[in-house]
Amino acid sequence: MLKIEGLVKRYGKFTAVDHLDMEVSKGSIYGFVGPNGAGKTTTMKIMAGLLGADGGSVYIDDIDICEDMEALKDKIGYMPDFFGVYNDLRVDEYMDFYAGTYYIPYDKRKSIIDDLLELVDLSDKRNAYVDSLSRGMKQRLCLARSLIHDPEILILDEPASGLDPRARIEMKEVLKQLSTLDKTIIISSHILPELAEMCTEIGIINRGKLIDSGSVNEIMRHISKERMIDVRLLGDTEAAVRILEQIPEVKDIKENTFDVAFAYNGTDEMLSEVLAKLVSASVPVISFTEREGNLEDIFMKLTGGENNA
Amino acid sequence: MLNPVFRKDMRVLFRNVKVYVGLFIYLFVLLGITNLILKMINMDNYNGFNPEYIITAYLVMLGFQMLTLTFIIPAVTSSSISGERERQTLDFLLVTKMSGWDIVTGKLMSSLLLVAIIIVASMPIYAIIFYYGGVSILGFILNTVFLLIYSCFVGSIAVFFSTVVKKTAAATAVSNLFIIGITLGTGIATAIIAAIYNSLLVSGIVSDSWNRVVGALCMLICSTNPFICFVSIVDSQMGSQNVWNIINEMMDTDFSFGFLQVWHIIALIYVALSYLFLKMAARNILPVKKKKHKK
Repeated sequence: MLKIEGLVKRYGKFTAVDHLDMEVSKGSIYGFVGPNGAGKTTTMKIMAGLLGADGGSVYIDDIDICEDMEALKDKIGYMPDFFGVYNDLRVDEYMDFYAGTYYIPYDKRKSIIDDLLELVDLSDKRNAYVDSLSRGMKQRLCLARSLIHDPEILILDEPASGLDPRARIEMKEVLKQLSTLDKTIIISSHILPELAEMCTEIGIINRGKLIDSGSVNEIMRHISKERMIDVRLLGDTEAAVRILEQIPEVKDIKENTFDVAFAYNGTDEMLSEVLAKLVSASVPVISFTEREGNLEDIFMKLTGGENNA
Repeated sequence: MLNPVFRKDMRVLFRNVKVYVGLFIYLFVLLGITNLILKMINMDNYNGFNPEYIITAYLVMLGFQMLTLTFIIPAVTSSSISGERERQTLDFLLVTKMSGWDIVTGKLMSSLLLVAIIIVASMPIYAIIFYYGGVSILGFILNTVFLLIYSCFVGSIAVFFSTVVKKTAAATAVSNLFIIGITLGTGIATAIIAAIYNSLLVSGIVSDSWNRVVGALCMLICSTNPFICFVSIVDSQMGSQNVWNIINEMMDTDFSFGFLQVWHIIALIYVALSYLFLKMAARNILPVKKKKHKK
């Protein structure tokens, strides 16, 4: 369905997307994860035809978008991370305008608009001015707009950014419904861990490169070689760090006032020896626990502990 | 199917209270000017009435309208693309099936709609002039057509700069400067070319066989000048060919296009330039230009 080969995008000397390869199969829901500045938005903009690439190709149904974007406009629905709305229009007029931009005949518009407003739960707001909607409602309206021409591929760049928890849940519900519509959805989001159950594939991008991709379970298996261990102490974290630094299986030690966390790549037996070494060196250990892995942790590990997912 | 951008802008335009307030102020000023001129005419004509004064009144109104449009159109149109960019709605438009050409022409049509509203709204005031006679309806229709063509030209420039300059305020300023530049620049350029050519003629470096070529070049440069354009309209209302004569005398040529006035030719050139500016604007807004990138 969608295939990216050696995609490169540079802004001056900065390489935003660095020979990125990825493939999204038809009907899948692809979660695109990466820290800010990783190249997610740039990649998505190139996919949507809003940005030219400096190298590589993006194929949709074997058509290179760099060669024939016009032919693919019908197939792609795009929702950017930052967007504006026409505040002087009513909700139905707003939708009607975008139906016009896809040259949908006047007589078919009403039913399409009704269905989409129902999907995003804005039917009762159809006569309200866009200006009067809350941010969450505007975001859902924007999602409905991107579906107006019934695209096969939906590119959603941070659809839940800037939303309060309640609006996030509402957006998540809409996205859940969307996942039943047999569309290929590529979604980048800060709430990806929450959406993990609906993503069939996940791609993790950092510094313009795809670090890992596959199903959530596959990525979990790739990463599970390393476990995160949390050690709570009464104090003397420096002594604990000194000891841990001497153990080759211990990496990425993070020291706080009363606790130390580290990544461990070894057997359970060796891990018990790590605890024994700390205790024998009179380090005041209160607890020594393995952190449970989740998608957010995977992301943090793969992207070197940089910010938000 | 009606251009969707035009349809949407039309909807927004009619909802904007500022449009009605602006239109009221405009008509009020136009009415004031008309009233003032008519009063002056009455004061000057105790023993009858001279139709030439009515033509003068009509031309002052037309001049006022043209001058106002010169500043209103860039103010309205220069936000066409930059406004979408500032509102963060441009990306939405660019991913749709609408071509760059459809988007920019839709925006221009919205501006022309405002111009049409202004012209139609001012017709009752023009009717006062028609009551006195002296101005032909055909002349008025032709002038209205020209105003629309001129608005199209100014609007195309504003749309073009709206695609080049990111901020609306800057796009308006640049568009206005460009129009002023055309008015002053083409006049100065023509004068310089004529002066250089004359000095070359006097010194014997070139022969007068170049008169027609240099004359045509000066004509072409002048043909983008809104002021000369207005003077030509005055000319046609007066039934004279003074602008032709001035150019012919200046360049020692004998150009004549029969019934065609200078402003007819200018109108054609404006149409061509509008098309060119819109084509460039349509190309400018395309996010990905059609060229093969390096593999």
